[in-house]
Amino acid sequence: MSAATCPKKRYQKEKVLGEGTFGIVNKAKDTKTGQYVAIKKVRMGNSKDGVAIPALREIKILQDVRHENLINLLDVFGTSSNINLVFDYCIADLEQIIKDKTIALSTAEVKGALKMILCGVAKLHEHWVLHRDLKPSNILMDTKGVLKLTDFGLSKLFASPDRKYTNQVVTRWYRAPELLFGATQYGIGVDMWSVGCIFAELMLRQPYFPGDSDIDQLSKIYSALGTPTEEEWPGMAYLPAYVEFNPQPRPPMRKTFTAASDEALDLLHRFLLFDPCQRISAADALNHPYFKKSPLPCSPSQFLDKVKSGRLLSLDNEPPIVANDDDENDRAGKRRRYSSDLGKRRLEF
Amino acid sequence: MVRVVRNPFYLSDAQATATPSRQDGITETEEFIQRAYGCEMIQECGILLKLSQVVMATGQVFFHRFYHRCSLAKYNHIWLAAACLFLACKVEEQLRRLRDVVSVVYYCFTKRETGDGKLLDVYGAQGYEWKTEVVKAERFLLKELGFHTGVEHPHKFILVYINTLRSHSGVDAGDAHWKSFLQRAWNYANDMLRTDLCCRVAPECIACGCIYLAAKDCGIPLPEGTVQWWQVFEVDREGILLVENTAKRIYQMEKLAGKYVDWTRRIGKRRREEEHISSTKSSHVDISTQDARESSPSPPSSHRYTSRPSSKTRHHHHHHYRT
Repeated sequence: MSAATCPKKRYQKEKVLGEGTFGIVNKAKDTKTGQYVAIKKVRMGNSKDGVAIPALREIKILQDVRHENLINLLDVFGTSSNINLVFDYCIADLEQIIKDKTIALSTAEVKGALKMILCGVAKLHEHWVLHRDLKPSNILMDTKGVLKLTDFGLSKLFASPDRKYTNQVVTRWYRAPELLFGATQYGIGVDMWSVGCIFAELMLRQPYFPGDSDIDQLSKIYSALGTPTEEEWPGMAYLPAYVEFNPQPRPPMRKTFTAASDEALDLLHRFLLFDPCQRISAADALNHPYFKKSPLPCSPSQFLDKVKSGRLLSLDNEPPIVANDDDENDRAGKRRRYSSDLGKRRLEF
Repeated sequence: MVRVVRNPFYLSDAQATATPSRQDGITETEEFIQRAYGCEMIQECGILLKLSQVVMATGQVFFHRFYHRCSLAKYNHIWLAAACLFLACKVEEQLRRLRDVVSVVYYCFTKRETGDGKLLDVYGAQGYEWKTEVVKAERFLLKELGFHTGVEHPHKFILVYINTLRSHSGVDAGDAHWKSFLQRAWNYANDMLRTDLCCRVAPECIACGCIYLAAKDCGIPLPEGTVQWWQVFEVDREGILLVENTAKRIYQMEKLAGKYVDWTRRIGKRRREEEHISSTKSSHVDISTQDARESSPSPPSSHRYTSRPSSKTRHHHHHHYRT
């Protein structure tokens, strides 16, 4: 078999990029096109239930929905014990960008990033797909500075209105209140809440609601947004895991987001509405005055230039853990990421 | 209406008749019966597993797509049917355990073949064999499908089209006659799954064909004029005719009552014997009597896989797909 037809030979592995939720991701060079790709290896080994569902979901959705702001599935091939998904190679994820304080994101860049995320989410929702795990580490930046949503292992079609879904989705920090209350029927609202959290994180440069348990998550949300009244969120008391909190007033957002414009706060408020039905949709958010007012959203290349100005990409060739003087920070970051992973992937298998 | 699958592919008439099984000397009728056999297994097992019809339908579409890529002589269709059902469960998000799928398929298979359903010892040697074979078949299936697991069924189109036709005719929504008409069209759609129609025409076309047949059965007058009602749904007369002919064929074949034939074994044996003859140039072997002896049914087991050299299988797993 020639190099072009045998996938194992076509892609030359270079290094491990990271461990995904269901396999290892490798950087590889495509000998046919000379481009770098990321290969996600889904282990099957002696698994007693055959091919993993997250992989099937991801393949199914990415084959159907293609968009600039969604990760591009280039190829799929199977070997005797694995399924390999070949993606565009991306140079950084949004979590790394947010954490790298040497990258000073201006309003235009925050707008540009949010716009790219919203375009991807809008495309997904237009095709009746819920991502269900939006968070900065699942948003990658490619070599041209375009942000791409990735990791569709939890994604689902939501075409049937009365289908029951599991509420054990979305990493806790980005999980909408209705999910925390155990709702099994939900819609695009869960993704929009996550987008709101990411938007806030882009401005604050730290997670907005870093809860360490489901209850703590709710109390963090309430202390930032106040407790919802029955008017603000009709029917919340009927949710399966509803917990009543002591009423708290809504503190002004301006206190937390000192530099944000009125439009930014209005948009954030619409993302983080308690009633999932009233939360703004991705398509409507793109038409929000926030994106119309100067400074206009930056282009991907401007975004890339800004990210390149920071330390993140200059350390590209070194393993990320060796990050010198910031060691203390980094370790804390790692620990935090680990704890945030806890209680995350309980799926309805 | 929500169109979920955006890039379906359909076979031309020539492609649909020149299946890989044909190259192994399996006739069209024989293949038709074995396909129907596999599909009935999927349907029956799905009912026992309390799956909704969409899962069985998806499984049967996978089954047909697979045997347009691979000969019946190459892969045992009982195990493949199990794998199709198992994969369809995952794709349609109605998960069942592997051992449940395998034991139900085993039960249905033995029941059909011996008249007496046997329970599979899922922890025994045979259970282990069945489980590994179904997992293997699932991977093989995915590879041959090119990892395309999205399937669109005619059922939802039937529902919408009949409701459209009903309100056009000014009939009340609760009309009993129209309800039985809908049910009849629905049943036709389920029966059509036994054939490879899903690989040849779009679901809209199957839907119109089923409505056409059901309307004839129930004596429901559908609007006629210079523009036929199916043209409104972008279906042409050829499509309707194809569905009608396929339906005729199904009910004709039903009388032949499909018996299970394991081609992986038969063809393998024949090939080995041919090789034997050509290599030794010795006495004549009567293949027809051999065949007759072997067609007695028994569950598939690994010795039937002799026609599938292991090196070839491995080659297949490395086979490459663009998405």
